[in-house]
Amino acid sequence: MTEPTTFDFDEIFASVGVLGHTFSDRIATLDGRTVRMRGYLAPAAHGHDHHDHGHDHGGSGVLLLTRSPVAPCPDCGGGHDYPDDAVFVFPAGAERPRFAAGRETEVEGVLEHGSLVIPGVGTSFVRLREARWNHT
Amino acid sequence: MKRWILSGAALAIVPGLAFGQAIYPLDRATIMSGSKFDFKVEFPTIVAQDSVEVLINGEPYDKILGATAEYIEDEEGSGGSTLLLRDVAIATPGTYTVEAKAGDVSKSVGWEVFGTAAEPKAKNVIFFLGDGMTVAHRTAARILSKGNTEGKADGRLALDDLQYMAFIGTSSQDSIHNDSANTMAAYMTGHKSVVNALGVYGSRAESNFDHPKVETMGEAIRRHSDKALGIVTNTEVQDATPAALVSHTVSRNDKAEITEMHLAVEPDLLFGGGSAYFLPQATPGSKRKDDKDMVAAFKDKGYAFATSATELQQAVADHEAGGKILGLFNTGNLDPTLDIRVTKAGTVPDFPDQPLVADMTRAALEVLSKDPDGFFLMVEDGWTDKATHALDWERAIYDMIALDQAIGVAREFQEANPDTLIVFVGDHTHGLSITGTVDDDKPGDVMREKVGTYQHAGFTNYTDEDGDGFPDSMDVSKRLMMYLGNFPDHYETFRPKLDGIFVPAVQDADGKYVANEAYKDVPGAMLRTGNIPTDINAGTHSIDDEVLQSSGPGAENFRGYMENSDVYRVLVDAMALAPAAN
Repeated sequence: MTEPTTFDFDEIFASVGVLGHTFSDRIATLDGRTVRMRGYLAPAAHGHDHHDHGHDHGGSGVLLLTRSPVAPCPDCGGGHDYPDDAVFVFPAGAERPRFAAGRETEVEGVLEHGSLVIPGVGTSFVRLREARWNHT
Repeated sequence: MKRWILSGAALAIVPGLAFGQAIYPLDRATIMSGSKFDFKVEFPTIVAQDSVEVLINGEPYDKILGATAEYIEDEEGSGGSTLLLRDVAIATPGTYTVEAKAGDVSKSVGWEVFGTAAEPKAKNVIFFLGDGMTVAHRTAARILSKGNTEGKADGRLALDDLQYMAFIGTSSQDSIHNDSANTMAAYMTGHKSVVNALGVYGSRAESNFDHPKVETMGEAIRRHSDKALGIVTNTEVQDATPAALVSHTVSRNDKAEITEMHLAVEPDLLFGGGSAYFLPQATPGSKRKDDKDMVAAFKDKGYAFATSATELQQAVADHEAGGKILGLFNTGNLDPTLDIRVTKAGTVPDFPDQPLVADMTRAALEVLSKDPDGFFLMVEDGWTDKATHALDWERAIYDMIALDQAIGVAREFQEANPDTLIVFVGDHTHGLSITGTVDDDKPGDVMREKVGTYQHAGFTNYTDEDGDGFPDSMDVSKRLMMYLGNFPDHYETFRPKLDGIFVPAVQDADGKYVANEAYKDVPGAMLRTGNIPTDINAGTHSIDDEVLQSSGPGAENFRGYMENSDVYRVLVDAMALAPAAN
């Protein structure tokens, strides 16, 4: 069995700009295939609702994989909490996913790209479906 | 009932409000004569329409307000009846007592409707908002930018010579606490509201957009003057501060709708970030949930469009009187000034030509000063707040210096145009304070022991050899030491984060914020256990008074203690937006 292809945050967009981004050829090629990415996992949710009475951000089970640790900007309002190259991670299995906060983790999953609004979480540009990682 | 529904409208429940009988505007509201507002009476239970009696100064309300309210028997399943009348105004200044009765329940509130001076004192108003501004931001900026020798400052910030001052209360309709939305909205409407709200009172309405509205400064400039309107920020243009000039929603998070509210008011210029909410959802980078192309919508209204500092300069050079400019320089917030100028961290590699606040202010003044009727310009630096939240005082203070340089640009304009009022204020404070210095050259490895206080603090060794007003390096050997009074778990490193903004805490699988281990191995790093709930990832605002500073015609009316909602009255009085009928 072949090893999954390694994929990096720098390979997501070919260009980034005020009028929108362009996905790379490589992400289009790898879409639907299992890839391996290294980054930092965190829940794709606001930790605190003091700025967000109107939105449900909890309990989605969706995680984020980012190139460096991130935390939502607490006084920015919702909707721009994460960098555009944050990868939304949908864990395989129904269990509440465990991960090591603030530690670099290698995640494998099926790569998917394109704008997708995830209710209560935000807009995702890149996703890993059926994602797995070693939690120690 | 009449509703204003926009796509993707989220529903909001406003905590902290006791939904007994309520009348909006609230008791002790101050309302500019002729300004539009929504009148709403909420009864705690369902009451028969014919049992309802609402009097204003002893007369039927419709005689004073000029129209009859809609009666809603059971407002959105709340179990209470409501009277609602949108877009009313009171022309005659004076004291108004509103009494609402139905059966056994009754409530009374008082409003003051005020007129302004008959003649304007100021042709132009420049309103600087330093988000999250404390006294410590000012002091630290002065030390880093100018230096201090034998106890005396080696120079003055531009803001140091603003003549008048006031203490400003920042509490809310629903809390002694505050946020950047309802505090700026208080400045820009004259009304208090609930945390997160813009241009509305927090009521029991379900939709974010159905709460009782009050007139914003942007609308007031359009309705009651021929002045030009400029909005400048280094955050997203939908962020709370710029949004407060044009928006009506109980949630600042409605950024796609706020973009449309900007368009509805049509400011003569709008500079900042947040293009993600202008792009149709199919465009990668868009944060909209519909297919609207808001850049095209602005262009259709005649706006010139700039996406970089260079393009902004060109748009200003090409500008003709009456023309409008939209400048969007990032999909999100512009980067902190320290990153734009020095570290190139954050999104600077993707957006390498972002203007500084002073650049945008200069451009705005060049454009707006062509209007013979004068202008209202709001300029915000948002990173003084966002970086302070992140416990990254170096970035906050660097942006404080950037903001002061923008104030300097405005002061030069004011010298040539003395009919200009300048106001500088924060929206809320932070628990930020200067402890002393930290000196790498003190013996040992324990950074805490290198913190100098009292006579042991001595002086810092920042330099400004190139004379640009910014320290040549933030990472000198004897630095300022600042701490926040409230914080999540984090590692205190005692030194600037030159690789990118500080991320003090990260969320674990249980949703709790824990100290970010990325800083654990920084030499001398010290774990600080947080003193606020573990679901908060950053320092939080404080409730301490703001300090407002001001110069120019009308500035003499800022004095003593004022509510943030009182600031509006001084601004509109200076511009004579509601000249009293003689």
